[in-house]
Order: sequence, then structure tokens, then C-alpha cells
Amino acid sequence: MKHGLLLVSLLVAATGVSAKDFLIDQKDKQFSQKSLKIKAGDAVEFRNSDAFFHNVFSLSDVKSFDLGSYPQGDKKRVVFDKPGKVEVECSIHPQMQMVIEVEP
Amino acid sequence: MRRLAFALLLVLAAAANAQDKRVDQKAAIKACSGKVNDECVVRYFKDTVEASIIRGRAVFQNYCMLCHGPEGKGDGRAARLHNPPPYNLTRSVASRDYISQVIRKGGAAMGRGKGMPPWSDQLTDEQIGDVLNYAFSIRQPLKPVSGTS
Repeated sequence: MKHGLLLVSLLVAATGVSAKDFLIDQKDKQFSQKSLKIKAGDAVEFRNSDAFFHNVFSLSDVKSFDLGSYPQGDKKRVVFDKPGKVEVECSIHPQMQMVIEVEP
Repeated sequence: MRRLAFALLLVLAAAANAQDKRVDQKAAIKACSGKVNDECVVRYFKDTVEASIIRGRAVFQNYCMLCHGPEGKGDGRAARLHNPPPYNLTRSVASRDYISQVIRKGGAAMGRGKGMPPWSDQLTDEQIGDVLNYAFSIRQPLKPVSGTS
């Protein structure tokens, strides 16, 4: 286990790349950002700060997912492993839309 | 045959709970200056089943079509994200009260697919009533099951 962790650390140090976590809030039936640029391997947490349910999903070829319905205070994390454009929506609030650009 | 009769009973029971006021054709022709269209029905006959179905269709297209598809057959553009898939509403025989609860509480709370969100915070009682009337209006008549008596 120790050897495994060491290997990962060495690989990260050698490439100089480490995956980052980003936070997108859902407040007042809006995503906190209309667009976001991240690198492949990065993750985005979608937090619900509204007093009602949200249901974040994407039908994009690069990354399709459905986080299901979740209430205020909860957040769900998605790792974007392939480069490309990902359109993110909320199935309960059709006006909620944003784009995540995943760079190589 | 027994199954068909039971299904018909359920549909009739559900319809009995729905609004039963209908548009009077003569009054409609007069009020709409001979041009009876959706806009006129919703405007002058808002308490009728017909107006409710027209409003319900708009609610459906805005919130439900994504998963249930343009004709309610469970083939919306987001259907592929869900397992079990969204229900084909045209084949439904469930009661009005049951569907109302599924809409309000969501699939998970009703022991069904988790893909169906709870809509009680988003839709008003009137919108839910309208979309229920629309959902009942797109039901297809059941075919008799062959080989049964």
C-alpha cells in the first residue's frame, strides 16, 4: 500500500500534473457559473444550495451522467476524464444550463 | 378479458376524479368568433377539461418530455440515462391518485425508478392537475389479451 502511494506521488511529481476539484453551486435555480474550463482528470462538485431538489445531468458524448434528485446541502462529484465540451442541465429546472470545457 | 375489464374500471375511476366540465360547442363557436383554437379555449373556458389538457400539454413539454418523450412513450432524449427507463404513459392504467403521488413525491419515494424527480416544489397544484389530465388524454385504448376468457 505504501509502495503504491509512493508510486502515485512520484508519477504526479514527475508529470507536474495533479487533478483539481471545482465547485459549482446551484442557487436561485441557476448554476453559479455559465461556463467552466477544466483539465481532463479534474472533478466538479455540484452543490445544491436551494431549498428544493435539483437533478443535474448531461447527455454529452464526452461525458453523460445523471446525478439524480438531491436536496439542499447535498453535493455530488463528477470526474471528467476525456477532453471536449460537456453541456450540463437540470432536469427539474430547464432554464438551468452550463457548459464545461474539458481541456486535454 | 377480466384483465381488460379491470383496467377499464381503473380508467373510469380515475376519470371520475378529474374535472368533468366540458366546452359547450355552440358557446365556443360564439366566444371564439367561429375559430375554436387552443388559445381561445384556454382563455374563455379555463375551467373545462379541454382547457386543462391544453395547459397540461405545455407543462408536459416543459418538464416531462425530456424523459417521457414528445408523445409520452418513455423515449425522451434523456431516457437513455435511466434504468428502469421512463414509463410509457400511453400504456399506463394507474389511478389518478397514484400518478399524482408519483409526480409529487418522485419515483424513489414511491418505490419506483429513481430517475423520476419529486415535482411538488416546482409545480403548482393546478399544474399537476393539468398534467394529469393531459397524461390521461394520451392513454391508448387497451387491446384485449388473446387466449383469455
